[in-house]
Amino acid sequence: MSHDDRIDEATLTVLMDARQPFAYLALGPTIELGRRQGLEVNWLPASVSPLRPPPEIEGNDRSVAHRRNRSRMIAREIAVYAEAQGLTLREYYREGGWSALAQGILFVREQAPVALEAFLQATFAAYWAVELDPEDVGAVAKFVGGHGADAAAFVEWASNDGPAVADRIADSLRTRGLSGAPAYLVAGEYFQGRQHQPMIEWLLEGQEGPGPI
Amino acid sequence: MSAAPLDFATLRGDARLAVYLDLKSPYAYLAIEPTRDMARNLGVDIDWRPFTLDIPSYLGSATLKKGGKKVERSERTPQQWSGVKYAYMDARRYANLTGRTVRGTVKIWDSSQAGVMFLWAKRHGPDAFDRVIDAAYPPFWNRDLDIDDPAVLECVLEEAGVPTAGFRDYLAGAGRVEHDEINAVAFASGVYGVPTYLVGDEAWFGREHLPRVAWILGGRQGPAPGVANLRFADRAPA
Repeated sequence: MSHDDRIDEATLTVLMDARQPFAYLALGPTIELGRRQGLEVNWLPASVSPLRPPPEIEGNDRSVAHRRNRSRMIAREIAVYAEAQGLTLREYYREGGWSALAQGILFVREQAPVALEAFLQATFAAYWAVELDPEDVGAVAKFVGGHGADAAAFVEWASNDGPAVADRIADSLRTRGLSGAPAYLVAGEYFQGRQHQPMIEWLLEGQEGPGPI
Repeated sequence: MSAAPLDFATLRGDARLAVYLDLKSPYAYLAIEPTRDMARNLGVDIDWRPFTLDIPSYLGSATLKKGGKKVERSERTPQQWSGVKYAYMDARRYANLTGRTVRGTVKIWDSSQAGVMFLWAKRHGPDAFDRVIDAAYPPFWNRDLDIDDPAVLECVLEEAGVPTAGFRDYLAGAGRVEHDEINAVAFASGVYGVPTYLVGDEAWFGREHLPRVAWILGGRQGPAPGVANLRFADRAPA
């Protein structure tokens, strides 16, 4: 398996971190975008900082109050837009890594690419239902096996080459200055956030007509 | 100044749509046109309100050298710089689509005087307000507007055809009090950035929420939309 990042040859690369609520909110619309455009999305795992809960400190300090306002509005945004998509997200502020799931994405991407989007949807849903520990290779292997890839081979790979491959992809993203999730690379441009999908489609369609603003 | 928090519907008041903006926010600049177009399509008046961002309190502070290319002084972390650089890059590419210029500011302005100028413009009616923001934003984002100078603000008002007699007194007195009160109440109620939209009993930060704002104003017809930076100019009126 080559496990290249394929960024240079892909028409659309999408960076995802299962632990980022906005990545989950972006997943379904991004899959639909890829289908509308008839292209194979180059999905890659990326690690971003976890969502920060509202500060518990009370008081009038402007900086603390700003973070509190921001955190509360973000939480409302997640809840409202998740409901609109019929998604369930619990415990927004969980911490911890997701190395096993990130490797699972890379593994399924190579072994069963046609099932990768279904794998992303299933694992992200399980993570946000607090039913999947993304650091648990065995738990991720069940999803790998359920999506057309070899679960036992994944377990072996994750205990040998997998971590180094994931690190290499992460290094590649760092070197390119790509640090967001959800984030999109298209036509040489980098976009953070699902709100850019109209612009991404406009670029993919050859910038016909007035651009979205 | 501290204030008692209000729920968003109370904060919105009688207006169907209230929008907070700040001259020194490129995202507020970008939001003006689609916000106007969206509201016009729906036949909704906009209650624009100044909200002066206190950027150093959440994004660190920095000053650029004359010419605006090198950093003279910075209290920002690398992560904060990365966020600021991305934000400007992002703002520029959208601005370029409509022929607008967004040059990074050479310092973090105290734009509260410009906020008071917006309030002054509002006193002269919505058309006057529109003309003033159209006269202020482009030169400010081309680094051609010293908003620390009241005489410069008067020139903006004059260019927009808004009377200036009494503006200086308003700037130093009643206008300042009104501005500070609007800001204090908004911040205490949960507003923290611009553009922020108050619609129904909801508040949304960022123009990417305009599809939802329009959906609410339009009576929540059909499925709730997701976030998107959209063009509203060519959409048929509701």
